[in-house]
Amino acid sequence: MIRAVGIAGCDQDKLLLHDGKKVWSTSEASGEEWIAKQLKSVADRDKGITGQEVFGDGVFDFRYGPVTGGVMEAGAYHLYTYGERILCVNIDWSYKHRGLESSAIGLGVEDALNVAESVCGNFAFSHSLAMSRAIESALAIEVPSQLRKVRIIALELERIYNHIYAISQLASAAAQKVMTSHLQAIYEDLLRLNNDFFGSRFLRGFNGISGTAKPFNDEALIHLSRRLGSLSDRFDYLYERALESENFMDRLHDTAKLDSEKAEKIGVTGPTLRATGVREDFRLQDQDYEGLRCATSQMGDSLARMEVRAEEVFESVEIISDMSGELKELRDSGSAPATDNKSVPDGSGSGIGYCESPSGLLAYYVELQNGKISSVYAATPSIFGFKAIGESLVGNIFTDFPFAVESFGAYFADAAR
Amino acid sequence: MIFLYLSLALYLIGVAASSRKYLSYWTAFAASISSLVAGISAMINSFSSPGCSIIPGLSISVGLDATSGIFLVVASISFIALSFYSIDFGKLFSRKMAAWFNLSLFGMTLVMAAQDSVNFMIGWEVMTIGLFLQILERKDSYEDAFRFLAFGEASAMALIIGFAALFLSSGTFSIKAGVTATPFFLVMVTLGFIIKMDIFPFHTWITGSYSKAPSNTAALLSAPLTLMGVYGIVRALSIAGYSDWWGIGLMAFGAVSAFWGAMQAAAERSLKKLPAYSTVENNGIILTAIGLSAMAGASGSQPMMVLSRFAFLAALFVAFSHTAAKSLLFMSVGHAKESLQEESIDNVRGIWSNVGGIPAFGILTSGLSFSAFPPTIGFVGEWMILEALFQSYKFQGNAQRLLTAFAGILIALAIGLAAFSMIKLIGYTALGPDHGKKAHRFPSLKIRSSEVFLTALILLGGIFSPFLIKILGYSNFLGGLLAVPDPLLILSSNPIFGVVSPTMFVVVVGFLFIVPYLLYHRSAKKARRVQAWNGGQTLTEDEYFTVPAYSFILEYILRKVYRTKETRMGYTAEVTNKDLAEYLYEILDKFVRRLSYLVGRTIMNGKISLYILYIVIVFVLAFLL
Repeated sequence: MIRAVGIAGCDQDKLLLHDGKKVWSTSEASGEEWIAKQLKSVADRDKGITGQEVFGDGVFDFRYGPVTGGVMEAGAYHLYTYGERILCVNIDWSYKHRGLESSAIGLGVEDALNVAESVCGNFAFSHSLAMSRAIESALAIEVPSQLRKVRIIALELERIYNHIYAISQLASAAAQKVMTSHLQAIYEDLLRLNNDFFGSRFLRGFNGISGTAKPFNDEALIHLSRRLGSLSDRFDYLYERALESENFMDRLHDTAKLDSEKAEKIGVTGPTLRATGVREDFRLQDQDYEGLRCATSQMGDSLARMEVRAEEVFESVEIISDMSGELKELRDSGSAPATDNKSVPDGSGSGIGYCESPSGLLAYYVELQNGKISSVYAATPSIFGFKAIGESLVGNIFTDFPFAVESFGAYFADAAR
Repeated sequence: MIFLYLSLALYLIGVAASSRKYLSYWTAFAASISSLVAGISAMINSFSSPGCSIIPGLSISVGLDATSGIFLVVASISFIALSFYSIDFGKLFSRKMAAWFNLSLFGMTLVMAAQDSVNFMIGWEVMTIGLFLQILERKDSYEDAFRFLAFGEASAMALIIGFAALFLSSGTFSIKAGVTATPFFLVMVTLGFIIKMDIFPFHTWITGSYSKAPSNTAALLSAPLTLMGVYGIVRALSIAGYSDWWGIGLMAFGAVSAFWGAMQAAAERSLKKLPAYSTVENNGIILTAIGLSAMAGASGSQPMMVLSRFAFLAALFVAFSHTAAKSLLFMSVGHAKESLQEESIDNVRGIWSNVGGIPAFGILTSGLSFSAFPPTIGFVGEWMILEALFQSYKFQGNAQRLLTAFAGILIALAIGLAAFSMIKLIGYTALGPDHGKKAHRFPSLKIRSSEVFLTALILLGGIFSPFLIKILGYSNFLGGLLAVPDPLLILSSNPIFGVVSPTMFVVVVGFLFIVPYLLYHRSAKKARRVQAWNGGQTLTEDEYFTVPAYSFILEYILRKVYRTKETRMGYTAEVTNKDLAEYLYEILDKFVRRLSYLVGRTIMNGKISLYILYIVIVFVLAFLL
C-alpha cells in the first residue's frame, strides 16, 4: 500500500508518497537530493524554521517569545540582528505542538473531525472541511449539492471573520485606535452571527461526514445575508477610510515584500500568494464556486495582502448571498436538506481532502481501517505562511515586525498541530 | 619654588631610575605630590626663578603664577593618581615605560612652569616625545604612534611660528601677560593648542593612539595632555587679552567639536575609543566656554564682564572634572581590560562581579560625571556652561547672539549624546551581566587605591563645589537663597540668573530617599529576587543585546553623517562607520603622495645638477625665511 509521508511546499508539489522503501512525489521533480530536501522539510515542520544563522560583530539573536506580549500564541521568533535590521529569521513553534495527528489514530470519523477542529481555533471549519472531504473521498461517499453549498457558506464566513481580524490587527499595530475598535466590533458581530446560525462562534461541531452534525435551518439564511450585508457595508466604509490614512498606508507599503517567484518556491498559498500577482485559489477548481473573482495584487507587500483580504471579504459576502439563493431554489425544488446526516459506512481506504482556508490551501490525507482512522497527515497553510514571514522579514526593521506578521495570517497552532 | 624644582628633579631621577620601574613610579608619585604643593603655593603667591641668560637677548626662567598654579594643581591630581596606579599597573609593561612616563610628566610640568617660549617648547616637545615612546610600548602600535607624533609636531610647528611672531612683535621670548601680541600670534598658537586638545578636525589620531597605548598612557593622553592645550589657550588669552573674533572662532570650533565628539562616542564600541571621543567632546565644551569668555570680555561692559568671568569659571570646572573623571575612567577601564584581556565593550561585561566593585564603581562614577549627573563635579561644570550660554541675550550684536544660541544647542545635544554613550559604557561594562569570563588577577592594591581616590574626588568635588569656587577666587558667584545658606548656592550671574546647589541636593536626596530607604531596609523582610522576564526563558549567551545594536538606530538615522555602511556577505553581516574628518586626511595623504612622486621623478631623479639646484633653492628660501 502506498502511504503519504508528508506534504511539502516546494515547487508546488504538496504530496510525498512512499511504500516503505521508495518515495514518490506527485510532480515530475525527482532525484535523491530533492526527495531528501522534501523529507527534511516534512520532518522539521513540527519544530519550525531552524538552522539559519548570521554571524558578525554585534550580531545577536533577538528572541521574541515564547511568552511575550506581542506574540499572541506560544511560539518564538529568533530575529538575528545587529540592531533594528533583521538579518535572518528562525521561528520556533514547537511549544504549540500537541501531536493531534497521532491522537486521531484509532478514532471514529466523527471524533477525528473534532480533533481536526482543535488544530487551530480560527481555522476550525477549514480543518473540519478538509478532513471530512478526505474521509468522504476514502469511503467514496457522494456529497449532496445542498451540503456542499452549506459548507461553502460556513467556509466563507470563516474567511470573512479571519480577514477582518487580520486587518484589525494591522490597524492596531499602526495605532489606528478608532479603526481597530470598529473592526473588532465587526469581528465580534461576525462571531455572534456564526453562533446564531451554526451554533458555535468559531463554527465548531457543525460539520459532519456526508451531512451536518447539527440541525441547520436553511430558511433562516435570508436573515444571515441581510446581517452580513450590513456588516459588509460597515467594513466597506472603514476600509475606504483606512486607504485614505497616509500614516497607515506608509506602515504597510513596501513592508515584508515577497515576490511571486519566492512565494511559489516557498509553497505559500492563499492571500499571500495572490498578493504577489499569482492567480491561484483552490476554489477556482471547485465547480460550486462558479464565476469566482480571484482577488490579486501585484506588490507583494503587507498592503497588497491587506488589499487582497479586503477584496475577498466583499467577494465572500457575495458568495454567501448567492449560495443562500441557490439553497432556497434547491429547497423549493424539493431536494433533501443538508442536515440529513447519513450513517457512515465502516469502510477502509485512503483519501485526500483539500480546502481553501482563509490563509491558503489546507490538505488532509487520511487512511481508514474498518471505519477507524489509521493514519492522518495535515498540510496546513501556516507552515508555509511562517516560511514566507521569515523570508520577507529579512532586510526589514523591528518596527515592521507586527505589520509583516499580522498580514500573513499564520498561526502557531495551525503550523504545530 | 623649591617644590617646583624638587618636582622637576624627581621626574628626572625617575627617568634615570627606570631600571627599577617600581622605584621609578614611586619617584613620579613623590614628584607629583611636590608639584601639587608647588601649584597650591602658586595659587596663593606667584613665584619665579631668576632669568638665566643663554645667549644675548635670550633669558629663560621657570615659575608659577595663579593661572599656571591652578592648572598645575589639576594636572598634579591626575599625576598623583596615575603614578600611584602605575606602581602596580606598570608591572605589566617594560622598564622603559617608567622612564617615558616620568619624562612626559616632566615635560608637562615644565610647560606649566615655563615663563618663556623656549622653556615652553622644550617642555612641549619632551612631553610629546615621552608620550610617543609610551605608545610604542605595544608591538603593533607604530602607525598610531607616528600618527600621534605627526599631529604633535604639527602642533609644535604652529607654536614655534606663533612664538616667533610674538618675538617679532615684542622683542622678547617672555610669555607673561602684558607682552605685545599680534593676531597672527594668536591664530598660530591657538592652532597649535587646539591640535593638542583633540579639537575637530584635528582629532583623528586619538582612536588609534588611545586604544593602542597602555591605559595609564591613554589617561595621560586624554587628561593632562589635553589640559596642556587648555592651559596654552588660557595663557594666550592672558597675553593677547579679550578679542571678539578670537572668541567667535574658539566657540565655533568648540561647539562643533563637542557635538562631533559626543556623536562619535555614541556610536563607538571599543572600550578605549569611546572615552577617546568623549575627550573630543569635553575639550570642545572647554573651548566653547573660553570662547564665550573672550567674546563677553571683549565688550568690556560690567554685565558682560560678569558673564565672561562665569564662562571662564565654567571652563575651569569642566577642565577639572574632565581631568579627574577621564583619568579615573581610563584607569578603571584599563584595570578591566588587562584583567579580562579584551578590547571591546561587549566582551568586558560584568566588571562588577568579575574584576571588582572598585573599578566598576570608578567607571560608574566617571561615566555619571560625564553624563552631568548630580552631584558629581561634571554636573556642576556642564550646568555652568549651559547657564553661561543661556545668557546669550545679553550680547548686543545679533551675530553673537545667534552664534551663542547655536553653540548652546550643539552643547546641549553633546551633553545628551554623552549621557547616551556613557549609559552604554556603564550599562554594559560596570553593571552588565557577568558572562562568566575569568579575570586574570594581578597585584592591584595601588590600582584600586588610585581609583578610590579619584572616585571620592569626583563626588566630593561636586558636593563641595561652592568651596572650590571660593578657593578659585570667584566668591561673587556664591550666595544663599531661602533655605539654602550662603555660600552653598552657585549663581550663574549677578544679579541672579540661574542657581544650583549640589551640596543641598545631596542633603535633600539623603533626607528624602536614602534615609527612608535605610529605615525601610532595616525593617523590611528579605526581598525575593527573580530573573527579569525574557519571554519565559533564560537568556542564552547569544541572545544578549549587543553594543552595536544599542546605537544602531542612531547610526541609521544619521547614516549620512556617520557614513554608516551595512555589509552582508553570506552568513556574515556587520555595520561600520567612518569619521568624516578622516576623509580630509585621506585627501591630504593622496596629495602628499602624488607630490612626493612628482618631486621624486622631476627633481630627485638621480640628476646631480637638478638636485644641487634644488638644494640651493631650499637653502636660499630657508635663509630668507
